[in-house]
Amino acid sequence: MRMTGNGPAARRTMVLIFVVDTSGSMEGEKIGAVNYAIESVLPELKKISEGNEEAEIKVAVLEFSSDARWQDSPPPPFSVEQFYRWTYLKTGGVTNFGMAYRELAKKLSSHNDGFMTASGGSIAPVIILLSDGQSTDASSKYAAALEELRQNDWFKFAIRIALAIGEAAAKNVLADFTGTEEAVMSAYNKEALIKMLRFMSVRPSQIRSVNQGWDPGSALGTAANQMKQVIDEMHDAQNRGELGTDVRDPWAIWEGGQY
Amino acid sequence: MKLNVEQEVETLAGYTVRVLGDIGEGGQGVVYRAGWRLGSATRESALKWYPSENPTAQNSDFFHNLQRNVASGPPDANAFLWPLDITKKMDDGSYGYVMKLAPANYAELKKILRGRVPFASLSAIINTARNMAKSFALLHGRGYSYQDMNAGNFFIDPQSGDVLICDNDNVAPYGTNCGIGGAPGYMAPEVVTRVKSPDIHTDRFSMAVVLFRAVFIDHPLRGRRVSDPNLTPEERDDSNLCGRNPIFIFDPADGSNRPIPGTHVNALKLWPLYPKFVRDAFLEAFSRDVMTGARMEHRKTEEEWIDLFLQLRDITVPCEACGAETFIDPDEPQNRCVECGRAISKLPELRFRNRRVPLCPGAKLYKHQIDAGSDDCTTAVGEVFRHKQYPDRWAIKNQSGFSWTCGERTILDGGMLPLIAGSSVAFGDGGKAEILMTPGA
Ligand SMILES: [Zn+2]
Repeated sequence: MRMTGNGPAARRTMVLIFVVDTSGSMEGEKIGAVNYAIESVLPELKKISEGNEEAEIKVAVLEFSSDARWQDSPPPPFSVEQFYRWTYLKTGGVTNFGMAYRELAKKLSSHNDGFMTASGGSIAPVIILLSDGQSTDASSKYAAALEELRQNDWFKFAIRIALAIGEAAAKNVLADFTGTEEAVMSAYNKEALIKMLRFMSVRPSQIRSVNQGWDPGSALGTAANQMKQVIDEMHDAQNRGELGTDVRDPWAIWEGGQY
Repeated sequence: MKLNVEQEVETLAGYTVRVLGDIGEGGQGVVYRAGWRLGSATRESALKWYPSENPTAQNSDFFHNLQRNVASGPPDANAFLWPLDITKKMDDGSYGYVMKLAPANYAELKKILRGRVPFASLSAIINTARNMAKSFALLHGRGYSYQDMNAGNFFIDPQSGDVLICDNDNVAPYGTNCGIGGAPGYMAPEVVTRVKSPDIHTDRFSMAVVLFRAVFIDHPLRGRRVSDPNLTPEERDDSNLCGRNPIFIFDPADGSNRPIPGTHVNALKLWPLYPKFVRDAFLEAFSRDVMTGARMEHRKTEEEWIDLFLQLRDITVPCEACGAETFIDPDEPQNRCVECGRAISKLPELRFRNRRVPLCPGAKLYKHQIDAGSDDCTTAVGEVFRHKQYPDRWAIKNQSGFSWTCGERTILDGGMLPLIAGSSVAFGDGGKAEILMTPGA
C-alpha cells in the first residue's frame, strides 16, 4: 500500500570510531580484552540504533602501530544493524600516533571517501582512542599531525574520550587528543579494561545519537555539553565501582607480553 | 539507583508500587511495568523512574511541577498517560511516578517512523493527526505547554488512529521551564536561537512538525542541506537547519533543501498524493514568514489543523476499483486513486458553506458535517444509499434524530432524503448547515 506501507524515516548517521594502538606491547591479553569488549558491545549498539528514528550508528576501527590502517572488512564505517562478525585485531610494530591522526583527519570529511558523507546527514562522531604506550614518532611530526586534526571541524564537534591501558600509557598524549585529562580513563587490569571500553562505547553513542545534552546554540556547544555529560557519567560510574577496580596485580602478567 | 523486579516503593499518596518488569529506557529515565496497590486493588501501571544521575529530575522545580500535575489531573484521561502518583525519594534521591500503561495495541510514533508498525488505513493516519491536534488543543486550553515534544511522546493505535500522549512530566504552565531544553528538530526556531522560551506559539511550531511526520514520515526541515558537502558541519547542525536558517524541504521559493531521492523516500512519495489544500497548509506552516518572519505569532492553530483533517476525512472514500481508501478532491477536475491510480468517476456531493462532502454508497454522514458547531466526527447522522436498479438515484437515510427539510418535503428521523440536483436541504437542529446538492456530471 503506497499510503500506509511506509519504509523507515530517513535518519542521520553517527559514526563510532575506535582508534586502537596495536603496537607490539599490546600483544596478548590486552588486545584480547579490547577485541572481546568491542565484539560484545556491538549487539548492544545494534539495539540502540534500531530503536532510534533519528540516527543510525555505524562503526569504524583505525588500528595504528608503525603505520595506521582502517579495518576494512567490512568496509568502514559499517552499520551495527547489519550482522557483522568482529574481525580480531592483531599486534606488531611501534606506536606512531601521528600516522593515526593524519589518517583520522582524512576520513573526518564530507568529501570523496570521507566518513561524513551519509546522504541522510552526519552527526559528529564519537572517537575512542586506546593506547598502552608512549608515542614513538618524532615530536615535530606528532605535533603537526595533532594540529591538523584539531583544525578539523568534525573532530572539534566530536565526543573524544581515551583509555590508557596500564601504567606505562602516555596519559598526557591521550589528553592532547581528548582536549582534557578528565576524558582519559585508566584501566589497570583486564576486567576494568573491558568494563570501561563497553561503557565508553555505549553511553557516548547513546548521548550523541539521541541528542541528549543538545545545545541549541551551536554545534560546538553541543559537543561541549555532551563531552561533559560523558565525563561526569564515566567518573560517577567509576566511583560507584561499576568500571572495575584499580588493582594492578593482573597487570604483571600482561606486561610480559607473552600469550 | 535502578529498581529490581519485585521491589516495592511507597508513594506520596500513601500507596505502594511494586516493580513487575522492564518496559524500556527513555531519554530521561527507565520505565517499569508495575503494580500500583490502592488498598486491596492493584492496578497494572507504568512507573517512570529517574535515577539520581538525572540532573533535571533532581531540580526541585521539576519535582514540584510534577506534584502540581498529579494534583490537577489530566485534561482528558482518555488522551493522556498522566502522572497519577509520585514515589517517595530513595536515599540517593532517585524517585519515579506512576501512570497508566499504554494498551498493548498502541505503538510509539518512534516505531511507526522506523517503519516497524504500519497504519491500517488512510483513515487511521488522518485520525492520528486530528487526535494529536485535539490533544494539543486540550493542553493549551488549560494554559499548559508541552515543552519537550518528540516522537517518543505519542502512543498510537495504528488501527483506529487513537492517540495517547505520555511523558507529561514536562508539561508546565506557560512561562515555567523546569530545565528541559527540548528535542532538536521539534523546537521552534526562536527557542533554538534562544530568542524565546516555550509558549503557545512555539508549541504550535512543534505541533506542525509532529503532524508532518505522522503524515509524511520524514522530517520537514532535513532535506539536501543535512548532507550538502558545500556546507560546513556547523551549517549542517540542527542549530542552523532547525534554528538560525530553517528551510522547508518543499519550499516553493527555495529548492536548496529538497528531499534526496533514495534517501527521503517517504516524503517524496507521499507529498504529491495528498490533496492541494493539505500541502498548502504545510507550505504555510513551514513558510519562512511563519517559521522565522513576521507571522511567527500567527502560526496555524489547533482548531485549524483539526478542521483540516476533518475535511480530509470527509473526502476519504473507498476506491470502486481496488477497495482501498483514496481522496476525492472536489477542486480537482479528475481524481485518481492514490493506491491503484485508476480514474475515479464523479460522485454526487453535499456542498456546505465550509466543506464539501463527496457521497459514495454506504458512506456515513457525521454530526460535524451537518452541524457547524460540532466537531463530533464519530456520531453517524445519516447513511448514503444508491438505487440498485437505477444507479443515478441517490438518497440519504436520516439517522440524526431530527427532521430535515428539502423544499416542501420534510424528512423525519428514519426517512429517506432523495438527492435531487440543485435542491437545498436544511438539517434541523438550528439549521446551521446551509447546503446545496450537486450530483455528479
Ligand atoms: Zn484504487
